[in-house]
Amino acid sequence: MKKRQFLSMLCVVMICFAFSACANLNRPSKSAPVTLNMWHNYGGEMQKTMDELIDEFNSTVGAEQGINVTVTAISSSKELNSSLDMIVNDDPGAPEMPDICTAYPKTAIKFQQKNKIADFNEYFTQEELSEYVFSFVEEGKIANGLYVFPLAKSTEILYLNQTLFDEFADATGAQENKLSTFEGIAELSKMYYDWTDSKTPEVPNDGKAFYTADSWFNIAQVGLRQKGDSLFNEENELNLDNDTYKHILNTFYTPAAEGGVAIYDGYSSDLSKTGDLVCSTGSSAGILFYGDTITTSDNVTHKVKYSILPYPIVEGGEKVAIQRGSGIIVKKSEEKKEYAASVFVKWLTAPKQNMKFISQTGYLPVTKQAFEEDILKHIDKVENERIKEMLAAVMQMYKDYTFFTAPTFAEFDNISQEYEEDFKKALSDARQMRISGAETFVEEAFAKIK
Amino acid sequence: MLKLAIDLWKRGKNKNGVSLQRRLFLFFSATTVFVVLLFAALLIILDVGGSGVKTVRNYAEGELSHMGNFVETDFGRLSVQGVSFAENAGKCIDEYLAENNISQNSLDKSPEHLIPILSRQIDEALATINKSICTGVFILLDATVNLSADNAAYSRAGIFIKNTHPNSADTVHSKFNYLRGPAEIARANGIELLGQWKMEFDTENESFWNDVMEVAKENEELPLSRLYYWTDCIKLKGNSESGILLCVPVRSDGGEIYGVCGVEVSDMLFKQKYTPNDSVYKRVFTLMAPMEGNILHSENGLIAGNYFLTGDRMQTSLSLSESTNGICFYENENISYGGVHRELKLYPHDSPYQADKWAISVMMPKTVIDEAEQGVRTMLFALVILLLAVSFVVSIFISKKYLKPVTEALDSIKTRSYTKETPKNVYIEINDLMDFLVQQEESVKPQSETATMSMFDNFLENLKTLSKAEAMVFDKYLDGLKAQEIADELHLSINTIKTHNRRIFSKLNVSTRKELMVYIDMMKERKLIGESDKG
Repeated sequence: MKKRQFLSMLCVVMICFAFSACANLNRPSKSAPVTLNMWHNYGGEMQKTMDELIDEFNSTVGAEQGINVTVTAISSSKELNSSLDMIVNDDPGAPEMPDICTAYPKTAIKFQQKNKIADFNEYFTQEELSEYVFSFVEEGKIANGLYVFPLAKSTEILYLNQTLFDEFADATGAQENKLSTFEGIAELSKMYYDWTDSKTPEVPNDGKAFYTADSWFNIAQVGLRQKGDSLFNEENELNLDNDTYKHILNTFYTPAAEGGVAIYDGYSSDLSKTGDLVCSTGSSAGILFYGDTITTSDNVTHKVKYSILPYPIVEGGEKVAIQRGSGIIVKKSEEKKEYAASVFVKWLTAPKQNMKFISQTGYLPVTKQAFEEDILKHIDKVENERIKEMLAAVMQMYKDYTFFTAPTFAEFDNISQEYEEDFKKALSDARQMRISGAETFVEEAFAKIK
Repeated sequence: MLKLAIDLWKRGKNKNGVSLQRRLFLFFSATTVFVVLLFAALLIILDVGGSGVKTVRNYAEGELSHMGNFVETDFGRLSVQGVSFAENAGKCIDEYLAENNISQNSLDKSPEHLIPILSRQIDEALATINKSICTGVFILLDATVNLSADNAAYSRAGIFIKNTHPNSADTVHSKFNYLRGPAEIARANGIELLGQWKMEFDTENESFWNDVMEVAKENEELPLSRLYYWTDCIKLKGNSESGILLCVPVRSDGGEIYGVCGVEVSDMLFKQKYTPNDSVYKRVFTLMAPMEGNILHSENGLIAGNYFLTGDRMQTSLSLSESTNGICFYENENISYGGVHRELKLYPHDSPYQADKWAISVMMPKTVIDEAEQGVRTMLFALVILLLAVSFVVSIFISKKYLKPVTEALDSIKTRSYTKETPKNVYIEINDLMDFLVQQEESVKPQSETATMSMFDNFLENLKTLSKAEAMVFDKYLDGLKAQEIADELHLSINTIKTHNRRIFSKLNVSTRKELMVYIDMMKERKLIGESDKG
């Protein structure tokens, strides 16, 4: 009996020992550290902030737990997406997938379908997840798993060169409240082009553009949502053959053909810097690309003031805006690495670190505490006036607007890119035809957009 | 252990003279303490306590060798690429001016031609930035597009293209942005304007521009490969990022200086490329800075290390103070660093900038080095204390172990309990002594019968003098019992029996148990043992 008891005890001790040994193997430590490679898209002025945060993590929590994060690539979202596409398709010459990467859900879904990214649900408790803004977390869910963790969010807003607009309004009586709708913007675009064209009667057709959009695809998506419709049908195909879409196209078609709406391949901030634009819709995170001066082609610089206005709506529509911003994906790997990555993500998105990041970059925080409390307390301490103004405007939008996120399916990226190219080409063609004196028809443009 | 040593000491001290065990303990202790102290002295003489500093030095020298070569190679390659850019830019401008019948010294008077001239530089600029590990490429012409503008005296036309993702490695394509230059050129080439974009450069008080132009004009005979210049770490007006610029004059085939071109290495890129391996020392960093004598101008240099631990930049120069164990110390009023450095060779020997010295250093806060040194010393001190403690324990153990056979032998002599059959002692000398004593007893010659009888009679007579207790013990000897058996039988201690023995021996005039037994045997032979005799 005694012998049997002894053997039972021995077995229990051995099992406990084995389990504790396994647990240790699956966690990084000072003696068995883990290095995580990271790619992110926070370049330019945002890079330093992200670098400092990563340094801080490596020196504090990372040092204690044996986790070291190394940034191996910093590039734009578009370029990262291109490399990630190579990886997910196993293209020849594709780089090795990083352990941590910033990505949009539309990219993440391709990795999720091939079981190449980790599910954050395995490393975050429901209680922990409840500390984040619900809609931000929901945006990263794919097939019942949480594959894209929110890091920083943005929306689209209307940037207005207040100095140029005031000059225009003083001369023509243009009303600023018309900027609240796309139809009003279209009307002002025509007025502005005519007004600037009239300044040099000796040079015909040299009027200036009033408005452009960084994403015409988002205008279609949001416009349809505002009117209670959707850009995609149930088969995830573009739903363009309806009155609402045709109205949106028609709203911009004529001013674009006449020159009041600019069709430009780069970002609207480029045109704004030279005074070639009065207002534009774009990401709230693009605030750092807007200066406080414009420089004309004769190298004369003028001081200007920008205003941040809410995203316009289609007349008669609801106040709806898009919620955007990449999140973090973690490579499917050994548990030790996935766990280490989750430790880093938890630290990086905690209110303290998140607030530091957003106050330097203009993004929105992702935890409830930071989003609902800290940002309001912190906003006066933000040194950059432009970021301060933008944060105030966006927080107001979050009170007044309903936000939606773009659908997540594998073909989304290609469809959106093709739409953008087709839309721009259709409107550019119309402008060229108008310059050449030919008559233009919106139906022709509609036919060109797939 | 200490208690044991004190007990031992007290025991030795309470008796007359010095106890053998105490003497032996002191001897062993003194020997081992001497050996341990000798070992400690050797550690001090060999400066083993400084091995922490030596480890830091070896590590820093290794990193310096690696980083120094790395930086020299990269910056040398950038210099070559910058010179090549300048040569091609000069030729390109020569060709444009020739095509448009403009004299080479009239560039500043031809503002309408500046944008076409700069447009032609884009391809070469992009080629240079693509093949170089740098954060930017630029060209400034000694001219402005608007001669009547307020800032025309200092405004200079040019292009500055930034690579905002220079460490994209080979895996991700680089992305370029436009920091300076005409917007139409950027738009035509699909380059996005940065938030800090300006159309032209403001050269007012920008020493890099003024100095390079001046030196280039003074040294017309020197090839461009001798005229390039690396600036201190500077931040262009309106730029958000600081870095050092390679500046190469752009010169016509006729010797006219058109302007300056070059590349930029930002402090961010320097950090990403030249941070030393920080797996051992988290606060280590690389500093590349101008050096004048013993002064390292860290405020004008680049730092590669953990920002969180080293801070962005040192605000004042560091002075080289002293060198210990091959480690140099660099100090300003706020902090002291320790590390190693060497001079960087950035210019050829016949360059006009040859006197500008640069150094590269791998260093860390002095506190880190002190901690490393202190750590080894503490460890050695603990080791010496441990050795001393062990030596005391061993001394006690050995002295007791060594003396045990001796004390046993002495006890045996005291009780006269040694015989031929007594087990041999471990010490030869003691065995010899025992044998000698046994032999001596055996050598006692039998006396003459008469004398013997007389002695026997005396013995019998003396029996009457025994006390009642002594008689009881004696009777037990008659029964053939030994001392311990008698003690057990009579329920007395062995010491009491020993006391009785001494008195019995004294009264009966015998000196050993053996002699006693001889008389008892005689009594038995004569059948004198009876109830009456026992009384």
